[in-house]
Amino acid sequence: MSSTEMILFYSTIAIATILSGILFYFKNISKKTYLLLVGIILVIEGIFIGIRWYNTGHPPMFGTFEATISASWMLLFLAVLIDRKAQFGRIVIPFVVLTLLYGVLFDKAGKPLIISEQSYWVYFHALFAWLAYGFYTFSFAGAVLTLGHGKWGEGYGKEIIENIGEFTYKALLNGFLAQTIMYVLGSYYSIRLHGNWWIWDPVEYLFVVSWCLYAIPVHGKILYGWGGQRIARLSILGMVGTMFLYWSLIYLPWATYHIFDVEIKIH
Amino acid sequence: MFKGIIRFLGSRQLTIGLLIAGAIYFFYLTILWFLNMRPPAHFMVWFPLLVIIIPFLANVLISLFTRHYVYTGNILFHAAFFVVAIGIIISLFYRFEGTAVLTEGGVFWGERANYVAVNKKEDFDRLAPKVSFKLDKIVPEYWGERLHFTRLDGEVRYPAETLENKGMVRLNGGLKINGARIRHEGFGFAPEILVEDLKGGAIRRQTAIMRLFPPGSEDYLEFGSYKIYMQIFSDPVEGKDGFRNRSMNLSEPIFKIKVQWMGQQIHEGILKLGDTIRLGTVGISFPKVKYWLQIEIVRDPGELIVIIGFITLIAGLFFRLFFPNPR
Repeated sequence: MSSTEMILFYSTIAIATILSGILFYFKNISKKTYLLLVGIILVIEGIFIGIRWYNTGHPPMFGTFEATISASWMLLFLAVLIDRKAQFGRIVIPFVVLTLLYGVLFDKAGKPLIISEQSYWVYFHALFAWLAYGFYTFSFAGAVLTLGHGKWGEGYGKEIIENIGEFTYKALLNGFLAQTIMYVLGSYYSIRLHGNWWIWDPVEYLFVVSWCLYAIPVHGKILYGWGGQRIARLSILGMVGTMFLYWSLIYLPWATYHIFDVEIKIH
Repeated sequence: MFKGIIRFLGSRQLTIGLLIAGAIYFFYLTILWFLNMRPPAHFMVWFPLLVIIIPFLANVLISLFTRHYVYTGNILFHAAFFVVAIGIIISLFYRFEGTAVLTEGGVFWGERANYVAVNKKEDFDRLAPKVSFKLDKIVPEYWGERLHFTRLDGEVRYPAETLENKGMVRLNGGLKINGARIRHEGFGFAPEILVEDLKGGAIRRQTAIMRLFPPGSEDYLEFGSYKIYMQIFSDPVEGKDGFRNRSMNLSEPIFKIKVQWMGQQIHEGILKLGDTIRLGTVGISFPKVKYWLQIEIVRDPGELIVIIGFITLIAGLFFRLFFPNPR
């Protein structure tokens, strides 16, 4: 990383950490201040992404470090887009910080893309993966607020809880759409790369697992009219399950066709 | 009873149950992978999957007719699974998949003998696409000294009879000829072998496709009772501990060889391009090193239908989310 990139990257982490602290200690932060700070982080990280993109010649998507940059930026982008009332910032912004800090553990050097990654199909596949991650994180945040209200000494009114429940469900649906598009793009690219749209590979299995996990609350609400609490629990299960399985892919030694981090294992 | 079965197959309980079963089954496959285990037979993957998929399709079909789906988008989304299923069935019966290995300058005529492997030997004449081409050149590029390909292109001209069109075979897609997708999936070094008699007259000249890539990998070729073990240093530089590679590029390569005769090692040494070793009454030399590509030729009429199914799937979700019109 160049010194400019370093400054921008660590500034992003620093400001996001400060904002997390503010959101934690000051419950009634104004929407304007929240949006301003999120906007500043979004721009700084956006500039960092732009410079890195220019330097490496490809969007930041190769290796875990770059994936965390993009995923965290997507969270910030969605925060500005769908959380203008600053309802979920207290959970989502620490997620941004944790995502970025997790990326720091990996190789930060920019690398050219290997052949299998050199395609717009992969770029958009990754883009929709981050979008799904963003929506599911918001759904998770909504679920935590739904289940936790009153327990932390800050009970919401019934109407607010219903709104949060509705938001959780909508975020889940949007995440489901983004995840489906991600899969379809990846599947089409798999035809070009492996000659087949389905490969018996753990990443594909995990896609089906998480797709089914998220489809359960979607169907439950439609077919049985499941309430906010149950949807919230299942949304949390989906998020935790997906994260756990994703890390298994990263840290277990068995190779998959997907490349998450070139330095950890040769695929 | 029949009504009862239909009612059960179209029930909400089954919908949720199948989603849970799907998640559990693929989780089980993931756990097997985590434990570095594979189901020992292919049917052990397929059979449980069919046990889930058949009731799933029945559930969707019945729900489509019993108007379980309230939104137009939902109908589209669930109907898409049938399109995908049709695509899969067509692929099962009509998908052709063949592998060929070619060196630079090699010609592929699309005949059975040109393939190293095909998926449907009995139906070759019916399913094999009419594909022929000449592989002119293979261009690999790496990131510095690392085994990190940034480019690996096979320049071809087709059809082999006229060579009137130019194309590029790549790892990710590239060329389509007569509905067949042509991509490469393997690469390596192919030393040219010249066998001469004691007077220097050429007896045989051929290119051997060997697994010598990445540089340093060892492979062997058999010549009569002789076995020649070989390693290539593609871009050699001599150090204190012998030769090492400067890069993966082919730049005055050398061969580290060991020769065995009837299981006994009789020779070990370094050969440069054109150097000869005597084996009995003949001399063997390696005047040139080329590249080879393993090329996959696939024609799958079900592929397009699956893609249409996928697009319908997305369209259904899109309509459900952004134009939620209840019926």
